[in-house]
Amino acid sequence: MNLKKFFKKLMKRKMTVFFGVIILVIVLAGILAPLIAPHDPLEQNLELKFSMPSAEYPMGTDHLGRCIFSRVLFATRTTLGFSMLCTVLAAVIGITLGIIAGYKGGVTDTIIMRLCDVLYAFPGIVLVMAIVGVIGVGIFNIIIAMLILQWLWYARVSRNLAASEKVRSYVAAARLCGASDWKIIFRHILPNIIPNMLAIFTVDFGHTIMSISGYSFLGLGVQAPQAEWGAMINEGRNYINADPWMMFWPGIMILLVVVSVNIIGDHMRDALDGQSS
Amino acid sequence: MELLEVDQAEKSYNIRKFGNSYRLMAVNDVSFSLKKGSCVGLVGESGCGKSTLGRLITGLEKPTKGQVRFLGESVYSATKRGRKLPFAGKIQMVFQDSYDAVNPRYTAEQIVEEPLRNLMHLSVKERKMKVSELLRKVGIPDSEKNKYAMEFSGGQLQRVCIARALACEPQLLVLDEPLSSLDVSVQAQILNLLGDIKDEGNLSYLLISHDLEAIYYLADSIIVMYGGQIMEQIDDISLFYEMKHPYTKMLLSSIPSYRNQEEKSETAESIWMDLGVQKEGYTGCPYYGRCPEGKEVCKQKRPEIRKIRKGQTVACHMIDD
Repeated sequence: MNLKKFFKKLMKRKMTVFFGVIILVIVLAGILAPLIAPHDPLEQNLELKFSMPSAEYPMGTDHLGRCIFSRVLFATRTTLGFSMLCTVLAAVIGITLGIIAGYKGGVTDTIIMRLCDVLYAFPGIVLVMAIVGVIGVGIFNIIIAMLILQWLWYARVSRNLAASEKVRSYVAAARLCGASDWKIIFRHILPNIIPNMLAIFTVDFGHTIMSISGYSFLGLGVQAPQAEWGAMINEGRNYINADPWMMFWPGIMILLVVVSVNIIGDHMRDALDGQSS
Repeated sequence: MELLEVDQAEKSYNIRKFGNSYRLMAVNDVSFSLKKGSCVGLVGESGCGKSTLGRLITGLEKPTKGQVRFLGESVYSATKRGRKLPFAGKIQMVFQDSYDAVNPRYTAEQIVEEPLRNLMHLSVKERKMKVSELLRKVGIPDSEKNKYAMEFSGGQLQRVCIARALACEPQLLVLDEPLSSLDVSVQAQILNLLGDIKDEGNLSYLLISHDLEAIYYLADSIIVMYGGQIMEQIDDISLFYEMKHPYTKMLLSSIPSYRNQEEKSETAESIWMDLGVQKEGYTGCPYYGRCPEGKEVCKQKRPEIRKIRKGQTVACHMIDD
């Protein structure tokens, strides 16, 4: 489907627009964090620890007296940035391999798809733990470990779409018009499967945020004192009875972003289904 | 030199079913040649291998055996990197379903532009002019060139496809049932357009169709296929009513207006072709199962294609020289 039409259709639903705006605001806040944040996210002030929300500290302070609001803002950069990096890499790897498999067919297809099947058999968390256990803790190691399983979705779906586009006569026509395989892939097949990939990408982005935060919560990803939503929840865990604010703010951010992204992703899928009928 | 030579071309596919695998001979030992400026009509029913033959001729598929030569050179060269076709632009094809034959994200202009972009070194301005000229030639006004493929009607889009096929001044145009997805009034328009284009230049056609009337209108010679093989061939359309093969007669009598329906009884025949006759290893005449004149010899031995008079060859045991 035409990308322009796809977005037009998407924007017809008020819910999509609403959640789109939420995402936009959060992303903008993350980008503009140094301008908006009232304090340095790492600045400690032990005299003011566990203060309630106030004009000075809009979301209160944590156990080291750091401004939670500033930390949440800066954590947006970490969490969304790393999640985006991870998802984009997975999408690029997956779509590339998927299109190659679907377009080439034959042995190439079999090898790539069987590799997918084998990797599917690994339980995600266990694999990530094992890899991080070997190469060490840290956000980049987590991303590498997650990538090993994450490209599979893209590969599977893009492979099937590419295979079904390939047999359509416009691909034959393009070959008769002197297009090489690469031109056919880039000018014809890829643009035609992009909307579908975008829908998967959106949903997957939500999952990745959960994973990155989750692994940071477990202490495997982003390391203290850098701010990250999952890590912040972990820090607040010890003080849940005394000062639930510490967990509440990053938690609500994860909830907001993931819910919004998932709903937009669902609506994208609906918009795609609608066009096929 | 002949423009196109098909030399004992054969295309077979592996059909895999549970416990019942076999090789399907989609095109079986087909030879013919096409002269410059002529139009060969290829007739046959669905599944007889005529579309596969079309794809072999354009080089989209590789023959299992035999060769297809265009101006003396093989149309399929697997060695080229990126599989760019050696005769891209020179051999063109018009497809049955025009909506399937264009990228849905392209406008008419982009569709026609594609071969020019790939194959000709033109400036952007020259290219745009050439596209407008081509679209005008097939009867699409300039104002509609920015419409997307899906916004056109079937007939209009087929015109756009024809414009694309003509873009690089092709020498051979393979028309793969270009009319069958169109309604009758539009069919006539497209047919006239194809006739006009043919009269203009030294373009050759291979018209694949099951519509004998369209073939009669456009073609100079006719090849009748059945079960992947050539059943009958005439070099001159004037022999149209002299065609002898039982299958051809059946086809002719299925035209409603033909000869006052004197042979009405056969026309109602609706038996589907038995795919068994295309399995590898079948030795008889492929038409045997449906042929009203079939004898024992037809079952045993495949009839050789032979000349029965000047300009007419038939593959049938039952026809005398």
